[in-house]
Amino acid sequence: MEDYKFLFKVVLVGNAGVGKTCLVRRFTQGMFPPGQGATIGVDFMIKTIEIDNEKVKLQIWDTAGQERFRSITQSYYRSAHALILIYDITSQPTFDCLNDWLREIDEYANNRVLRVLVGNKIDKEDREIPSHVGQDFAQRHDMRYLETSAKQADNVEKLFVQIASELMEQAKSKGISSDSPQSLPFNTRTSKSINDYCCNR
Amino acid sequence: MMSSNEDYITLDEINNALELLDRDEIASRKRLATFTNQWPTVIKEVDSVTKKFSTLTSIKENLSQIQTRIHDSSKLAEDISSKVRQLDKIRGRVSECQKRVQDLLDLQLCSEGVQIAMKNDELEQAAGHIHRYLSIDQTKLQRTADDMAQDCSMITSALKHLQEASELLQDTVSKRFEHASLVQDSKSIERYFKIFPLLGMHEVGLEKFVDYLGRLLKVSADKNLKNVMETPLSSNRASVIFADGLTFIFEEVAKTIEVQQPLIETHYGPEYVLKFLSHLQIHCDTFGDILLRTFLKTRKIRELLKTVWEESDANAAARPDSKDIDLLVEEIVMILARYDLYAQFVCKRTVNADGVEPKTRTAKTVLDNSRLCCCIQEMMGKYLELERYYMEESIRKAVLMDTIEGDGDAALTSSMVDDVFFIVRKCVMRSLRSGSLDVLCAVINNAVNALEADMCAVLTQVLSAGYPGSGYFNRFTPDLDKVRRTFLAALNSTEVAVEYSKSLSQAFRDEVPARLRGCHAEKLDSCLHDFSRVNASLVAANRSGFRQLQSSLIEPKALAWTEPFYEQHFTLDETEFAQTVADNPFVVALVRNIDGTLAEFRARLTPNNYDMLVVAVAAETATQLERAVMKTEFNRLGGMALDKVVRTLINYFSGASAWPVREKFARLVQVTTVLNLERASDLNEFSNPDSGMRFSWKLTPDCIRQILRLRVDFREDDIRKVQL
Ligand SMILES: Nc1nc2c(ncn2[C@@H]2O[C@H](COP(=O)(O)OP(=O)(O)OP(=O)(O)O)[C@@H](O)[C@H]2O)c(=O)[nH]1
Ligand SMILES: [Mg+2]
Repeated sequence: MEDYKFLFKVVLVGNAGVGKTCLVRRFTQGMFPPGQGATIGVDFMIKTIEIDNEKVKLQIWDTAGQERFRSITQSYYRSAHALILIYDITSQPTFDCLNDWLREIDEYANNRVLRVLVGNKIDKEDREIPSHVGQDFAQRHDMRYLETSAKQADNVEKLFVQIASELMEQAKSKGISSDSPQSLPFNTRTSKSINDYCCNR
Repeated sequence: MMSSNEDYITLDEINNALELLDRDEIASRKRLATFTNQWPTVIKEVDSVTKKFSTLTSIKENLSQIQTRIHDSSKLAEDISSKVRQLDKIRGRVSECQKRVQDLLDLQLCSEGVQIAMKNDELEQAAGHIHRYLSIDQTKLQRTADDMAQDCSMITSALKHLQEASELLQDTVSKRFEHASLVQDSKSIERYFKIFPLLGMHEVGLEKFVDYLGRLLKVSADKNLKNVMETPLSSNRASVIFADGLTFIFEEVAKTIEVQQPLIETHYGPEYVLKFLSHLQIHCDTFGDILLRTFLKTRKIRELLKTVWEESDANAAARPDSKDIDLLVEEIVMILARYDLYAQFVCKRTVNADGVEPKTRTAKTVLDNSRLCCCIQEMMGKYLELERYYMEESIRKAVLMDTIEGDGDAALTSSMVDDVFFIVRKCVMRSLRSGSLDVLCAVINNAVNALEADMCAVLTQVLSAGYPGSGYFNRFTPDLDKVRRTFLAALNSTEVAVEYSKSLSQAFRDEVPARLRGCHAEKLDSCLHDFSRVNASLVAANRSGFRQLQSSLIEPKALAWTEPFYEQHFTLDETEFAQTVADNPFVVALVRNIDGTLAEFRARLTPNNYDMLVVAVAAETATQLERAVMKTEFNRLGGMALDKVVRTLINYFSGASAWPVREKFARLVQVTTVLNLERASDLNEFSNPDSGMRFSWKLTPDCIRQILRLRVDFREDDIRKVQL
């Protein structure tokens, strides 16, 4: 067994150029990548963090915002424990698209998935979406809300740590999370019989 | 020793002191004499030291002389080195001068040579002269001309000639290249192509050359497209003709690169290969784009995608047939595979050119930013949608056409599970051919989602609908047997499916990395991990199935089997006891009933499910029997008779199942133990820590007292006295 107690999948979505990759890089590598090119397909990163002395492994899927990668992105919604929907606070169009993204999420994602709305690039001067507008939108759609700057590392750590703690909380209150490694009814690598798990009624 | 006079009190003491003083005096004299003897030696030594001091003074003088000398030499050395430097400078100027003279001579020669060569239409020679002229440092040339202001007519005219000749030559070569390329005179094209770099026209030459190559490619691409469009549907390549067409284009472009790259490296330099590739890619983009757009149009892919996700079942007939989609998907994945092959070929080009992969722009970046790549990524999206449709539609069909197999000896299984996993494997392995891990992962995700949403959901539905028991109302259920068979097959399917799911994800884990370049193992693993979701859902379905069996089959049966227990009585005398032990019709009937029922399922269930059923029946029988016992009166012999019954049952179940069942009877065995006591007070032994008996009760103290009260021969007083 690997050295972690919980395993969660976090999927980032949002228009091209809102800063998904930069947020992930900031969180996983502690840097703001200069000249970050558009993501092709979907990027995958892992980071293990510690919360209340428990190791939590986050598998982070950074999807491409460009329209032509939508089919790839869609396939990831279902397995996500948390979805981070991102827009750029200096770009009205990226905010306007949120409804389209929510429609996708409703269609494909598990309805119990933890959803977080993020307004990124707060370091920039030319804000177009006031904070309370984002906040309202998130509230109306039953999402958490956070504003970040990948560039200046504002709220980035907080974003992921909050998600991890909340998922951990959920998992614990559900008894043991159905997806945390130690509680999987089947470890796909062993070939124990189905009945090992069923006879102990 | 010395002391003041007052201390000498007696004469003796005074004499003694005097004697001592005398002795002192003698010793002092002796020492003085020795000193006097040594005096001359001391004087001598002082003399010699004084002499040595004078030599030291001369050494000091010498040293200061040496210092001055060193100082002088260093100054001298500095002078010399500055002179050498000056000399170097002068020598540099001389050689520069010589070079300028040489340049001037060359200039003269070039100027003359180019005119002669031009006159004779010897373009290579002329270009050679121009090349020499261009390689002369133009600014220095200008300075020379300035330096020789009074007599520069020669230079100026040579320069003028050369400038003119150069322009003329550039013009001529360009024009001739155009012409040659128009009439497709490949020999001349190559000839002029090689002249461009001599004239410093690398960019122009490369552009014109690639234009020409593009025109050549266009001819074959057009022919190819026509060929594709005209291929009859009856042709055996008809269903993959676009993939074939695209392959042809890629091969043509690749051939062109292969042939021309060495030429460019030799005549233009390796640094021009990337530029060449990016110019050529633009042509390749155009051909690819046209072909792919024609593909989308001819195969009506946009329309298909629209109808594919129409929800209404009413329109089911209008939905495309999964067989047709299968063919289409096959062709698209072939297109993706061919692009992948082409991309590999192109990406290797710049790595070879420099030995090491250059950091900045590579052929890969050229390709990644090309229009073709964009089209291919769009094609991947369409592939994924169609593949998903094919997979979901095929699974839907497999569910619809599900047939239950297994008669007589074989366990009931449904064809659906086999079919579904066959489909999933086929789709995932097909996506592997695209060469893209992202595509593969997306198909795996879609497969997991489909297994969960379609297969697991169907099994869950069947299993939670329940198993029709033999109750009164079920007698009127049409196809009762069919419903039961379906239920049992689903129960078996959950077990089979878990096995399939586990081995399939393991197979992907083993096979994919070897067959995919640059496979990011953790990325793949994270997707494959999701198969555990399918497994969890199957286990849940299996559990719910057993809950149904429990309530509609096992409980009512066990109730019916244990019913006759009430007709027996367990306050036996010796004769009755002997008779019961010899032949107990209740036990015989009970075992016969259980065995009959189990036999019905033995063949129909998978071994694991069957064992689980046996355990469930055992547990339920024990529970029901206990309930009946609790309503019966016993005496000692009756207790012993019950003990016999329980043992028979345990023996039977132990033989019926591969799994341990004894544990299910643990409570009943304890009940029987209590009923077998000789005296109620014997129970104290059980709770006495010194008795050596380790006994962990499954019964509560209240419960035990209740059991003791079943014994008609135990008195309430004794029962109350028992310590528990
Ligand atoms: N000022 C500022 N710029 C940012 C911030 N985050 C990202 N950017 C810039 O926004 C641009 C796009 O960032 P990416 O992270 O590539 O965006 P993305 O959402 O991953 O885009 P796709 O991969 O195409 O979906 C880059 O030029 C970043 O430098 C931020 O917090 N502040
Ligand atoms: Mg990105």
